Amino acid sequence: MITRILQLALAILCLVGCTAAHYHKRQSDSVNFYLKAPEAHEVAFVSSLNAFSPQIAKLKEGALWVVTVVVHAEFSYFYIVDGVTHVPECRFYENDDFGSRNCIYIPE
Amino acid sequence: MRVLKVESVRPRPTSIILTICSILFLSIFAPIATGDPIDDGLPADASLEIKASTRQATQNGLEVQPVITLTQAMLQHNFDLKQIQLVQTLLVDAKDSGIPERPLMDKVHEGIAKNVPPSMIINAMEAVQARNLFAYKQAAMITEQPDRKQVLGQLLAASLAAGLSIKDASKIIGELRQHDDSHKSEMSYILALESFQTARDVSRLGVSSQAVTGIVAQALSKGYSYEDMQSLRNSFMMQSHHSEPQEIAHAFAEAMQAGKGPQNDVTSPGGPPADSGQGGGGSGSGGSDGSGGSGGSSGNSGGGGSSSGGNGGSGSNSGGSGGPGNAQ
Repeated sequence: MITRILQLALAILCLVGCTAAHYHKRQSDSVNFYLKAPEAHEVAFVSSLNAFSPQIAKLKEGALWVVTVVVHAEFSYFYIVDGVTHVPECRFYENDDFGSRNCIYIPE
Repeated sequence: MRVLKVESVRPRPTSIILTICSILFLSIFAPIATGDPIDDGLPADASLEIKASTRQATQNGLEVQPVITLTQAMLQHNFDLKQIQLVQTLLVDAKDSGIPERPLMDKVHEGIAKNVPPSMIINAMEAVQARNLFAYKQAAMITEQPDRKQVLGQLLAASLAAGLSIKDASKIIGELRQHDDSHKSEMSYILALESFQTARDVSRLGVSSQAVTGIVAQALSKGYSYEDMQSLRNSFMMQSHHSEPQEIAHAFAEAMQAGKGPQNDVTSPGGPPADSGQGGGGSGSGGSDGSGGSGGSSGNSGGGGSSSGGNGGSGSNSGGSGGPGNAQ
């Protein structure tokens, strides 16, 4: 019974994860950032790591865009989706002084 | 018998003169021939005034390449001469004030990436400047050591950027000063470090400025040590995975008012916990990256990382956040 409950909980967690619009996965000293943008033609990742110079994301599968970033310290970021600034749901934010905000990535 | 005569060859006067002139020509014009970084770095059609202003900025101590890169970007984004000069002046002012120029430069680059009009970018830059001036000035009142001043200044500046108001930050600083019996002591620095880090991390979760102050300032008024503050922050960050941060903040504030300590010790009715003595440098949270104390950031997980992606995906609950020491 407990096993079934745990399996169900795991399945739900995976489902939620798979449908999340934005997430990331750490790989040694780099991090892959994923963004689901079904209607997009071009997605760029923009961060304070490189003076906010856009880094074009690759379309991985279906509507999933991915960019790999070498990370050693925290930084702020957002996306540009077809020329429009997009700030996804994320855990940490800062105000951007332009009336909106940026995500903040903090390495564990 | 023939005698061979060997005549000595003497250089002619004209060839000597030509050689000397060549050497003089190369020595005078070679440096010009190798190029000026400002002239080489900026577009050929950049005005002489912009080149002069950029050159002046570098002569005032700014690093050459970042200024050139920034000026190029501003030119491409249709900043006019006055706006470019104003940006460069703000950078020089920051340097002269002992605060980092990088955040100001980044703000310009960020605004350009977001296609914000130049006038609004400059307003944003001035807002960053004002925050940083306040933050580093406050940091200087807590510590005299330059590296510690940088750390505290960065932390407080990041708190302000995350939404903490200057008014509320002043309340926290006021409480810190109440704690500080010996001015600028080691303990006051470490406590300030933990307090600012808590304010920053909780603000970044979207908690309102008032609520952040309600926790941090109150904790300080209850006599929390740096370890207590660290414990409070870790507890908050853990609970924020499961509950709304704003509600956790209210619960924490209420619990502290009711006299619960950081370890939810009912035998300690909110009085000053025992001082545990000097700790290490910032309790492992020194530096502004906050990675040590923020209790896990965006939660990398192999299975898609719902908690990493956002608050929406983490299924945050709104009930029963508990007190500072309660783990949900």
